[in-house]
Amino acid sequence: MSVQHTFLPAVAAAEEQSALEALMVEPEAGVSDAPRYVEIPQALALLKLKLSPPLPKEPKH
Amino acid sequence: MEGLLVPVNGERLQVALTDAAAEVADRVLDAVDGTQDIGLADYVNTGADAKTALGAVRLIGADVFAPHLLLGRPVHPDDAAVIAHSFAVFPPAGQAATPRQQVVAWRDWATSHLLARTGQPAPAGPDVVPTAVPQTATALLGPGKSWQEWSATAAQLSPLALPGLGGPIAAAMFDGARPLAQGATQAMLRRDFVTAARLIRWIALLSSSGVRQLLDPGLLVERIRLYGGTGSRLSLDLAIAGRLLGMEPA
Repeated sequence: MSVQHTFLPAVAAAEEQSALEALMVEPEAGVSDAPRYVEIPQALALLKLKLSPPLPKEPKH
Repeated sequence: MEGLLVPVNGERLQVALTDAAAEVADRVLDAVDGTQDIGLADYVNTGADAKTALGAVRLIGADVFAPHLLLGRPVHPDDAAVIAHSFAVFPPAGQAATPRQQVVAWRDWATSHLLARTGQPAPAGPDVVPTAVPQTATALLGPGKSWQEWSATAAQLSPLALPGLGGPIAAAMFDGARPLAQGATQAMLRRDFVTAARLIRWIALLSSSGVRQLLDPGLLVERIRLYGGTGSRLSLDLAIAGRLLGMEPA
């Protein structure tokens, strides 16, 4: 098998190196004890239900 | 072939690299779960942005050797050349002073160590691919660290959780059953499945080596699979852990 010769892009700039380095040290959030935000499905619908006005009472005869 | 990364800001660079890394992870995952080659050279040479692709290879790092280490598949010379090229285009930093730089240095060491084992010549030149073993294992995982900090570092170093790699980081994990279990439990409770899967890789590696663990890694893998653990890199972590445990592919 022969090794394919490829065109090499230019060496990454400092900003590119920094972006790669930041991704290589993920996840950093594991240090925190804070609960992660988890979106509750239909949370908005539940909230609307809770805030909706009370049902009208039937008039007494 | 080059230049798409240059004029944009750091956040966009990270998005581009993350997307490309997901593609590389998918290729590795297909190779771990199936019989096909990774085809790194094909991916890098046929893509629109070779530099981003090579950055993604550097980001996935030692995991590109997972089919070789887990299943005994040969490493194609073209793929080995691409890995060496990734070091040439994204050269490692010289000094590893901060914990962040030390984590990066260890991940680079794992990749370069496994690359050297393939016996392929380094097209990028012997000075580009790092070969020296970092001397920072104790600084990162020594006594005095809280279990939160310890387990977070272990998660960052999860690409080193591969069979046959060895080294001081793997040796430090042998004494870390408790913080690994604490970190994995915390991550599961927070639904931080990315961190959990990375820690489970270490637990699976140690468990497959006969080291008694406080948590059953097989149950944790199954739970993340059931509870919506998605994403290419997360799936790759789970697949590697599953292979270490002798589980069937998902």
